[in-house]
This record gives sequence, C-alpha cells and structure tokens, in this order.
Amino acid sequence: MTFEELNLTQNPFELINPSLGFQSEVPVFWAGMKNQKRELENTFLNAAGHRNLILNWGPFGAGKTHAAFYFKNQPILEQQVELITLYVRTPLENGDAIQQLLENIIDDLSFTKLKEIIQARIAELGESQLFNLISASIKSEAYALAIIKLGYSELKLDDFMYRYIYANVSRTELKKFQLPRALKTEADYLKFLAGLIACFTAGKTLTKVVLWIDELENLLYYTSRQFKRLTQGIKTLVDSYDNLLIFLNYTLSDGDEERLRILIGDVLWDRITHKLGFSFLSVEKGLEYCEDLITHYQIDKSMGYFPFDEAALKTLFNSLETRCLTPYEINKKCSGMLCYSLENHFKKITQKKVVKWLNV
Amino acid sequence: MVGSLSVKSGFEIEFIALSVPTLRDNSMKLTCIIDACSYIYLDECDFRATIGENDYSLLNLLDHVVTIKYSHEVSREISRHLSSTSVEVLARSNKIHAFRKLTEAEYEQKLVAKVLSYPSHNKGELDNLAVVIDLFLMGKTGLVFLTDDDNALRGCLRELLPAFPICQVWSSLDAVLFLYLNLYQHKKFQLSCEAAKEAIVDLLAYKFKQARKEFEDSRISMSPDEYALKVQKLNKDVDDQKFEYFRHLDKISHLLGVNQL
Repeated sequence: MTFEELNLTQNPFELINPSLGFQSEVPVFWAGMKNQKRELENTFLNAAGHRNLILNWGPFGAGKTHAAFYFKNQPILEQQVELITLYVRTPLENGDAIQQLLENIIDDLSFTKLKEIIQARIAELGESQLFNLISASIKSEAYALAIIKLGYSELKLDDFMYRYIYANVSRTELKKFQLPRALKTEADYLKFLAGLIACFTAGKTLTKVVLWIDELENLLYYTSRQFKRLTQGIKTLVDSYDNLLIFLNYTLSDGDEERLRILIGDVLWDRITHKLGFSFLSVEKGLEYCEDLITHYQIDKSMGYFPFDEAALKTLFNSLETRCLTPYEINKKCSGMLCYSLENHFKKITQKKVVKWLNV
Repeated sequence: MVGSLSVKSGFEIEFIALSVPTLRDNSMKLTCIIDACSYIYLDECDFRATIGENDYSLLNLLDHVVTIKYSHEVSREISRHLSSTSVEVLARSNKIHAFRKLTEAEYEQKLVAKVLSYPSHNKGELDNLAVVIDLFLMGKTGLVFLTDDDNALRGCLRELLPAFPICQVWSSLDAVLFLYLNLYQHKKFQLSCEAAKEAIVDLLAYKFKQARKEFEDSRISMSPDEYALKVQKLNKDVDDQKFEYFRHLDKISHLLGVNQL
C-alpha cells in the first residue's frame, strides 16, 4: 500500500533531521502554533535598531528548532531585505566557545558561500571602502584586511585563509600573505566574527544577519569563565549591530522565567528584547497541528484529518507516555501509526485500529 | 591590613586581615570525612581564588576552615588519581584517620558482615562511614560525611547512613554554601555571593561535562528518542542543582545583607 492510496503525497509526520533540515533550500511547512508563528514573523518584520535578541524557550520537541528551519526560507520575509540566516548549536567542546561558534558559523554558511558574499561586497563597494567600513566597525585593521583577503580568488591564499580560521598559521606565512596577526584569543575571534557581520551588512541593499543559536542549555556544562565569555560575546555582538537578529533556543521542560533567568544569567537576560514560550499543546491545539499538517500533504485537500479520524488522533494523544503533547511526540506517534496502516492495508485509521496498534 | 582576595574568573573578593592573612580558626571546627570524588571535584574544578600571592582551590579553602579526614582506602583512591595527574595538592598523610575503637576490618565486618579486600567496590565509602563512627565514638561532634558519589548514596549507603544519625551528609555543592557562610562569619576573608555562584557553576561543569560530551559523541549511533531522553534527563539534573544552589546562596546573601551579622 502507498501513501497515495491514503490520499497523501508523503508521510506528513516524518521527523526532520536537524542538520539536513537546515541545509535544505526547500521551505519547510509550519503547522498549528499560530501565535508563535505570528510573533516570530512580527519579530522579523519589525526588527530595527539595537538589541535584537530573541529567546525562544520551552520543552523538548515543542518546535523551537523547527522555527529556525522554517524561517530560513520564507520569501515573504525577504521582500525588502536580504537575509543571511545562520544556524549553530551552542558549542559543547572544551576550549574557546567563541572560536567554536565562529567555526560553526562558517561551517554552516560554507567557506565557498562566505567567499562569495565577501566578493559581492567588494564588487559593490570596492576593496578600500569595504576595508574602511569593517575596520571602523571592529577597530582592527588586521582583521579587516584578513576578511578582505577571504574574498580573493587565489588558490594558495585560499588554502592559507582556510587554515587562518580553522588552524594555526606560522609567522612566516603571515608575513608572506601580508597579514599582521593571526587569530589567537577569544577576543580576536569575537572581533573577526563582528567583522564578518559588518561585511555582510555593508552592502547598499538592506541586509540582515539572522543567527540562530540552538541548544543554549549547553551552557549548563560551561565553566563560569566559559559561560561569561560566551554570554558576554553574544551581548557585545547584539549591542554592536543594528542589522543582526540573534535567536536563542533554550530547552526547559519545567520552570518559569525566574528559573530561566538564573540559568541563562543576567548578562544575556537583560539584553533579551523578546521572549517567546513554546509550551505543551492542548488536545485542541494538537488537533489543529495535525489538521494543518495532514491537509498540506493531502492530494484532495478537503478531507479533514483523513486518513485519520478525530477519535483516532485523540487516542494517539492519550497514549503518549509523558502525557505532554508536543509536535515531536505527535509526529512520532502518528508516523508510527501511518507506517503500521500501510503495512496492514488500512484504508482509514480509526480509533479501533489505533487501539489495536497500541496493543501490539 | 586591608587586602583583596581575587578569583581568576574576574570578580573581586574583599577581605580585611589582621597581620598574617590566615583562614584558620579552630573554634567550632567541623570535621569533614571526604570521599575521593568530592576531593577531586573540589580540587580540580576550574574555580581558583587568589589570596595574596597564592591560588586556592575550593579544596584548599575548605581545608583551612574544617578538619579534613578520610580512610586509607579513600587515600589510595586519591593517590591513584593524583598519580595520573602528577599533582600533589594537600599534604595528606595527617588526614588519614587512625582507627581507635575498632579496626577498619572490624568495622567492615560489623557494617556489611564481611571484611572487604583491597581494592573492592564501595570499600572507600564504607570505610569513610567507619571513620565517622569511630570519630563519634571518640567523642567528636560536628561531623560531616562529604560525598558526591550518588551511586553509593543510592546503593551501599542507603540503609547504613540513616542508621547512624551522627553526621551531616554534604555534597561538594553544600561545601560551597558552607564556605560562603563560614568565610563571611570569620570576617577575615569574604567570598562574595557572585564568587560562590561561580564555584557552583564550575563544580557542575566539572562533574557533568564529560557525561554530556559522551552523549554528544554517540549521538549518531543513538535513536533521536534515546539521545533526547538521556540529554533531557541530564540537563534537568544539572539545571535543578544550579537553580537550587543559586537560590540557597541568594537566601544566605539576603540573610547576611539584611542582618549584617
């Protein structure tokens, strides 16, 4: 049996792999959770001036990471502005968090794309003006020059610049490529990252950099020194650039904003301009989520929840071990039920069939 | 003499010291019977306080305000760890408890009905409990059983500890609360609330970072559900402890601030 025989183009509840989800250029679909969607859209459209730091928080699987995937490719948001969207997870490795953040950002963007953007800015503004803009912004001629050199198309220089960011370079090499200093300290990496943002937003077309920092709860495993440096680094970026939006995703199942303030720390908390809660869904909101998702993938879009019926969905919701409805849990259950239905040639998924599947 | 006690992570702790700065004050000194993992956490987490020209770990600070004791077995466990890191942090020979009322083997026989070989599972924790009992029978009060070994607390010590209500049971996080309160009380050195919170963060990072990293390293080989469940549980453990101990510190800070003790 195929999905087509169930009036579906594909499995609506298939879980998206986070890495693949963000690399995809195809817009992903948003189902249910209309308040969160509206609030995030407004945040994008109205973001202006300093301090664009938005905190999305809520339980695991409630849609925070999905929001990052969704807003990456939404043409509606790009009508008057060019968006450069970047997605990173809060680094977990030991060592310098800012360095890892910069490396993760370049990994996400890709070295090739990074070069293309810098080349486009050089073509638009000229090397000298771009250098002056970046240099004035980060107060470092050395790193402004390094960023300009990233835009050059020379094979040996490419290799050198790759290592300049990701590994060590020798003094001899620095001299050979006429760069006064390497990236060493966290302050250097922060300056370099700030320089990239200055470069990205320097063009004549209004450009905004949207940085999603997911899994901020990884801060729990930072030493106090690492914690301070990363949160201070994010604060510095937020304070320095008008056209930078930073979204922080924090997974917290229990607790309120007071707990969140303690966990995130006052440095970031005081800079947050908007907090958006992703909570557990009510049965009603869960049904709305399912209906949106099923309809999106239906061939004939006038068939409600088909191949499910409402009682079947409610039974699936009630079967969740945690009794906590999130899109992730709903996707998991409904996807499992759909696959079972295909294997068993069910033409409609009723409450009775759900009960049978649950008891298998 | 007015000086400053600074902590490397960037904040300042002020102290007023008369003549030679010292944290020692023998009045009402507690005796902490410490296990190997607490010893290592308190010594090796990132936190360092600089007093004058010297760097102090949490273990060093604790050593100045309480009497630290442990069993032979715990000493051996610490030595094994230190030999792997080649660091000798405290002069340790005088910290090994010499049993008076019964021998180590006799305590083991009475507590768990057998004499534990060396090395053996839980020997360190059980011998440390024997140290507590021996000290109590010698007339000592103000005893603290300091352990971060949750497995032992849930396992071999679960029924034994409640049978001997002669000591407080602390984790290394409790030791930070005590240090904050004690250093304030002594007036010689004051650990700020901010510094104590940094110590909590550093201890949690030291204690849990490796476990979190192991989940991350095996993320690809786990199902998304398994990974999510494990990480959520660990995150909850850590954030509960951070939240709880920050609130404890705020309560102490509030009390000290309001009452100017």
